[in-house]
Amino acid sequence: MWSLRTQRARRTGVVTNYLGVALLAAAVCLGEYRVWSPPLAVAAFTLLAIVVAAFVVTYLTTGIWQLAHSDSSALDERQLQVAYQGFRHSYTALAVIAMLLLVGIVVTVRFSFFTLTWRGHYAFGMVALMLMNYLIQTLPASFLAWREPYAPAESAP
Amino acid sequence: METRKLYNRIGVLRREKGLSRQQLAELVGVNPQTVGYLEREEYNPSLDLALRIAEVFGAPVEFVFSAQPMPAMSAQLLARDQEKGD
Repeated sequence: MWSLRTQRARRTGVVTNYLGVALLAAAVCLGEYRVWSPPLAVAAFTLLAIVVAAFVVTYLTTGIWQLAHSDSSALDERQLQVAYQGFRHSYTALAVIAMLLLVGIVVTVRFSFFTLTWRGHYAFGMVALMLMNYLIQTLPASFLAWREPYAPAESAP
Repeated sequence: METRKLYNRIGVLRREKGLSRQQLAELVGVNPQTVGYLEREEYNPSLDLALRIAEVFGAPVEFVFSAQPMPAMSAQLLARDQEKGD
């Protein structure tokens, strides 16, 4: 199966994946808060296909996903080291994102620390929850895809 | 802590022994890709792994790994022979 062999290609895959997810979330929000028109639905499905394709070629076919999600007993010392670095950087990034999200909620939900609604809509709704969940699941593998010179599934030169 | 680069002769010794990366990886209990990283000197092994690799080649660990760039084995053997001759 086709896979991203160079580090540069994998980085492009990571960016495409997250850009696709962000645009997909924007399309879903637009559809939910305004109206689901046929062009918007087509755009959303196209973006979904791009996200799935980018996910498969960036994480699955390269072996990055397996490296990030294998049991530690199945990894050798170098793999453990790079997986640990991936999770360490992910934790830092998630902490910053979570803090920005909380600050954003407090700022947008004016003068209210108790309700998560703004102009009648949920400020922290399903889309945001799905985005956070996707980030939590994919960030370690993304850091590995970004930093590893060779993909684990490749036979290195 | 900044780690210094370690040099090694794994590639030369592996080929001399007629082992593939896969075979050496199985003998020392790592992923074949890790052998590639070691041969390219892009990864410093733990002491345990370094000793296991040296055991496979039947050589002292300082013959396989060094903190200094390693001279060619032929040059090292020639120097040793010359020392013996003196």
